Amino acid sequence: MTDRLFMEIPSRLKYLRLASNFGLNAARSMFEGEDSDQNHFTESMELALNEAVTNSIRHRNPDSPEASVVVEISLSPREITIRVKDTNSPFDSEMVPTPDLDSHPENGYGIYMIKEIMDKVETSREKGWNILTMSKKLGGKQ
Amino acid sequence: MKLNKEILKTRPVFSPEGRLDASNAGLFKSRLNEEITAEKEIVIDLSRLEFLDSSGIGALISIHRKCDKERGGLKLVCQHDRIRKVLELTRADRLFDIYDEAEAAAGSFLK
Amino acid sequence: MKAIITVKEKEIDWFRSLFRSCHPLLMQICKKPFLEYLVDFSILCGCSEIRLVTDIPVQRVEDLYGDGSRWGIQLSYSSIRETDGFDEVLEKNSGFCRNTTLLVFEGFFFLHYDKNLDYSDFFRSLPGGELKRCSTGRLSIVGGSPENRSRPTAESPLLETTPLSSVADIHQLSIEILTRNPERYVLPGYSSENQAFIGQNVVIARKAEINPPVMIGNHVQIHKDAVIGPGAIIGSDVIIDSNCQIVNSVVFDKTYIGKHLDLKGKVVGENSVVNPIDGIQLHLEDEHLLSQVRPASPRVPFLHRLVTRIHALLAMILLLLPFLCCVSILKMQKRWMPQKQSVLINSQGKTRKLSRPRIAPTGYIGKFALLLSLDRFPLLSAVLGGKLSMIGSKILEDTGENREKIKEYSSYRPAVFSYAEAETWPDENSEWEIVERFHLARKSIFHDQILLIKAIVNRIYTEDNP
Repeated sequence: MTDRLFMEIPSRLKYLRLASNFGLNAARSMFEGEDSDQNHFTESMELALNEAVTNSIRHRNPDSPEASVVVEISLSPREITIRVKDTNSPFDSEMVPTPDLDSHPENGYGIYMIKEIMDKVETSREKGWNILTMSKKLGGKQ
Repeated sequence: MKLNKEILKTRPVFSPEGRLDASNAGLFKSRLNEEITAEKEIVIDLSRLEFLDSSGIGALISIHRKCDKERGGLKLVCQHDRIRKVLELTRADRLFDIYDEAEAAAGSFLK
Repeated sequence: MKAIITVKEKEIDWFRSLFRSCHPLLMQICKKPFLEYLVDFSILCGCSEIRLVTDIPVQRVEDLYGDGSRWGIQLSYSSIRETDGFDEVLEKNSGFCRNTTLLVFEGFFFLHYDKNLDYSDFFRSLPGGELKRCSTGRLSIVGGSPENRSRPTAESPLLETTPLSSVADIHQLSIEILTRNPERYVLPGYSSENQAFIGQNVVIARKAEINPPVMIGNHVQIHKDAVIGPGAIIGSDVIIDSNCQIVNSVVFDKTYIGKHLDLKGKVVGENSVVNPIDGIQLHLEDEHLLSQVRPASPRVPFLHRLVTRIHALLAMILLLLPFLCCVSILKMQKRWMPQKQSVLINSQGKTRKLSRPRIAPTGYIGKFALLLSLDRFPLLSAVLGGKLSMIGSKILEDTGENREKIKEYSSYRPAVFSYAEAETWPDENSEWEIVERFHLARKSIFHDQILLIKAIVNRIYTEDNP
């Protein structure tokens, strides 16, 4: 059985924390009780969502100050799927180059970190919306 | 984000509290850049941070580079797995000298 | 008392260049990860906290061991830089090192000890300093009671070091521990007889030979006429195909060893065979000879069955009309040869009668029917009923020879299309069995979809159809 959670925020950095807490708490609701292994999972989901929403906000079209970012989270007993949607210009996560980590750049880590944390990452476009879909199963990288 | 400052072994130790993310990384960077004009050897203690993202890492890297340029240095203090994992994920842990105690980090400049 | 284990990238680089997918700290010696030997020893000495200090990514180690609660200790992690020396390591971990005697492992080396001896008294009596050293590392005590300087040290129990700088070291160490003193360490697997450590879910064909001393991990398949040992250390999730010989060799986890491969005195992992004597590494390009396997997730079977049934239903819907039209015409033309066969549907020998008609590959309708694989249409109902898969093993007729064959073929999974058809391997000789075993070891929903499409497309382009 899959539960769906939904949040829409204005595309502004002041609401970033709200979105990333949403991811953290959604992931927490998959567990009963608390232990350190769960913390690693839930904190990773918070980080991945934070990076995705940051990207959406940062690349907002300056001519659309009223734009919003939509976060949809699907929870099943052993898997979480997070979709981040925005109305920015078309975006393909496959086209983002992996940062040269050894040269320690100041930017460009976002998608790389999402791909390292999540099991699957895909981008698509539907009716003018970019959709970044990322999912992770409980129990380690598949 | 609250930024605490104390002096240990004659070096300033800055302890950001709360979240260091895209919403405040820019501000954090400018505040530290101001401090570096006076003191070039500094310690940033990440132990009171609840959350650090890639923007925060970018700010730390930028500050590190500025300290290096000024012939100073930046040392980090990290005690919690959550923050350490973000440093490791971005391989920033290979760039910084990371200590588990602020006193040792500040004292390392004296050697 | 606490322990610090510090390893640097430059010390383990030689291993990473040979076996990319295995984390060096999880490198197995007699099927036990290297790091666990050090943890076991630290606990034996009375350490309640251990810190792993390194300049290599430890995410995989952390995912596996977490905070060390499985051992009842606190395991933590910290980063150092490549240029950091002993003093810098202690300085960067000053909080951890404060007010305690510290056992420090530096470098990439194996520590020989005996779990049956008492080390805590010995270490309590030490004043501090270097204890043991080898070319790739050393063991030291930091702290230690100053009073101990004036007291005689307790007699040292067994404590020796062996450098880990090449594959030869892993090989020699593994075989030595297995053959001479496995009782010194906590080694995984139970011992059903002397010098044989066998894990869980190990399937050994009746005609396979096991010669102790051997070590076999979990979820291992050993097919007929394979000879394992003496001196074989087989990891977990390994498939050893028929007629292999593995003697005085180490096989890492998740490896597929193809038919007729003889390994004597080798270290094998991924698609590499390394000769410990000269360090020469051979990459085998043919995945059917040697390759990495990904163990099937236990949750997949249900989803797999569902996807299979959906495929069969879709195929039935799409092809029903062409089937009815073509069959009527072909019957009139006497190009449709109905045939009912008793076939084996699992490796336990269960049978079922299936309709396996033949279509003469002549005339437009005949060729069109074969293009759409309509001769396989009657098998779709068996797929819906869960008796067949869409892609898998070639369907074997119920004959004496085939019954014998499937006794050693526990992964037999008969299907409408075979893996061999997907790879266009000839049907006449038994080479298709290699292909099947190879793919059955890798079965996953995605993998099977690709092969199903390949099999269907190959049929379209094949001149003579069975």
